[in-house]
Amino acid sequence: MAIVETSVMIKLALFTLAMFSLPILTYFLTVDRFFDGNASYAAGLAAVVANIVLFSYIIVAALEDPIPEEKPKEE
Amino acid sequence: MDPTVYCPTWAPFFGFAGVFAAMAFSSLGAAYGTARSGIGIAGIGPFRPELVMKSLIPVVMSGIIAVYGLVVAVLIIGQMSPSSGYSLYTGFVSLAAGLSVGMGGLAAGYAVGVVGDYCVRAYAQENRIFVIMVLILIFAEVLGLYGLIVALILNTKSDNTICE
Repeated sequence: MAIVETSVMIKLALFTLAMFSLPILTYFLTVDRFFDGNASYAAGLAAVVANIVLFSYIIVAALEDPIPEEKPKEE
Repeated sequence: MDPTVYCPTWAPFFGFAGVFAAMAFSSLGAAYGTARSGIGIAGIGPFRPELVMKSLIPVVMSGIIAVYGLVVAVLIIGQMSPSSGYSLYTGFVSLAAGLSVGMGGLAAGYAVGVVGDYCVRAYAQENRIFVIMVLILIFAEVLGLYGLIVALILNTKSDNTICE
């Protein structure tokens, strides 16, 4: 029996990927297209995206229903 | 304004030192935060494994601190080039930016680690600690955010036109 459910593992893996890739991708994709080379705005947006990932993780974790524990059978 | 005085050849040293400071110190903070809260999570793991997602919030926050350092490092690297002029002023600005985000990240990572360790252990025993834990962690996290904001504001002041 798995100690941690598969759905939890998938959520963790997705958030890990999002945390690694989204901020730096946001920086490199927006620095030339949206901000005309002004790197500070692109870096600020990358920080905002990182915080969005963080807060969505907190919300997903807070809304997760706790798994009901198996009650030990009493004699 | 003599370019050889204001744009010496050793000016990029300070820019690269800023890159180092941004990445290394924020990584130190994130490492301490991850490790210290990992101790707490390993402590409650055998008893309450269903709390794993909520218990990982300090680890995620430590990761964000390292992302702040990464973003500033990439920002500073983007300004460096061997062919265009690089003023000593921009070098100092980059060093200040790297140090501010790095040391802010070090402080934030330390706080997140200690708070994460003890709060995760308390959360395993009392569910209502969760909101308090998140609040304290957010206050610890914004220390790194302030360092990032100062680094970004500093970076807008970099100026190499004196080297033309």
